[in-house]
Amino acid sequence: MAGTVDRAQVNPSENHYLRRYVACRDAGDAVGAAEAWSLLMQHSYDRVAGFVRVAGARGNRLRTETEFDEATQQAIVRLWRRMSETFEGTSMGEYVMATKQLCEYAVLDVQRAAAIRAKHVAGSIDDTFETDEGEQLSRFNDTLRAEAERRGELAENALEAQALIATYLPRLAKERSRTVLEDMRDGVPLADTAAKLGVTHDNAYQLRSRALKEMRKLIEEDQA
Amino acid sequence: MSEPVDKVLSDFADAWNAGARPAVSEYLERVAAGDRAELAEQIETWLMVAPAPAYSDEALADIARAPALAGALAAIEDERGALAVELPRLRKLAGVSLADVSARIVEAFSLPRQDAKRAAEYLAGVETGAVAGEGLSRRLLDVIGEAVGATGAQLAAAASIRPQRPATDALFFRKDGEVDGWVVDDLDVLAQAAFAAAPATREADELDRLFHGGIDA
Repeated sequence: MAGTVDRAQVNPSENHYLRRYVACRDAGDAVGAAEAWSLLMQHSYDRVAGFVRVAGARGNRLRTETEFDEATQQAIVRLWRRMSETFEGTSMGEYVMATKQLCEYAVLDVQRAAAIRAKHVAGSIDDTFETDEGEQLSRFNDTLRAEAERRGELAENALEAQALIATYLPRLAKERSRTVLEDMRDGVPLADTAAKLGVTHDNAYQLRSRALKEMRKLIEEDQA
Repeated sequence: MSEPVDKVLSDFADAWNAGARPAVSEYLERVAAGDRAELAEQIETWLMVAPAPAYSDEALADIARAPALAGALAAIEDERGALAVELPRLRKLAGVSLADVSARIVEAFSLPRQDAKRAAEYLAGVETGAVAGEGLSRRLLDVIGEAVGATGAQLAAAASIRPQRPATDALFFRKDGEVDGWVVDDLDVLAQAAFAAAPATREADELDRLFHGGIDA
């Protein structure tokens, strides 16, 4: 297929370095593990930064570039701790889901730190104000409560091992959705996919979007 | 002018696949404010399933210079402690394996041959930071130093530099005023106790003392 990228040949990337890291770690080879970790992080950096950016944008949790950088840095350190101490999986699915979860945690921590710093400007975290219903609330109640709820939700949603795309692609209901996502995964240009399916570019955009939504729904159903 | 979510998502995936390193924030800006949450969720789903892009050497060099990545790698080294960083580096320079060093230890201290495996595990723990550098005895550091081309004194200096407290945990400690010295000392003692190895069910032997007995053991 024209435009298809053979990733296995041109780019060993995350999967390769993940396996190398785990092998070195399990063999007690700290030198090899450190090198593999550094390379793994180079290849994973955009994914980590992307997860942080999305989590930070949700509800405007993070507001400055410094906060985004801080959260990204924390997420990488947390991922290293998880990988070096408790992570036993070796699949990309497990790794990616652990990454996503730790990015969420890092964003929440940076958000909390920003709230604490803001306290020095806005007043004590223990200061209260009266609501319309006469209830006394702390200035940061809403922030902290939302954070606590989110933490609980994340803990409940701890994910099991899944090689995501391999697991979910065959489960998409429509052949067309499977084709579209396979093409996305393989780097097939949109024009080629549209031509193959006999649809317009605009329709191909919608098909890509719908297929991703369907996959997310399946993932969330499995987590429930 | 705002663009449809579907198109922007598709453009993001294409740019990702091309190794063009699309910035999430720029793509979010391309849609109407009311559509951003939906696009963010769609991009997140893509990031969950997207294959790694085929990065160019230049792109990888750019990534390596990213302040957040450089900062994270430096923080990880700090967290491991100086000996955990230095020992693997010296061992690599000297071209000796963990098994080589553990064999030297067994020989130098006339330990039973079967202790070599445990010594290698201890050494691996030192290199990952799981075994605290300050627990190692000076006579052990001399032997390790000889094996990796350094002196025991150099290794002892590295071992005395403790891992830094994790930054995320430090966020919970908010200092509102000067704290008495004894409080800090007590916290230090408690922290050390909390992270100390659990007492062994068997009696400590010479190898345990070499790795956990402290500089004078």
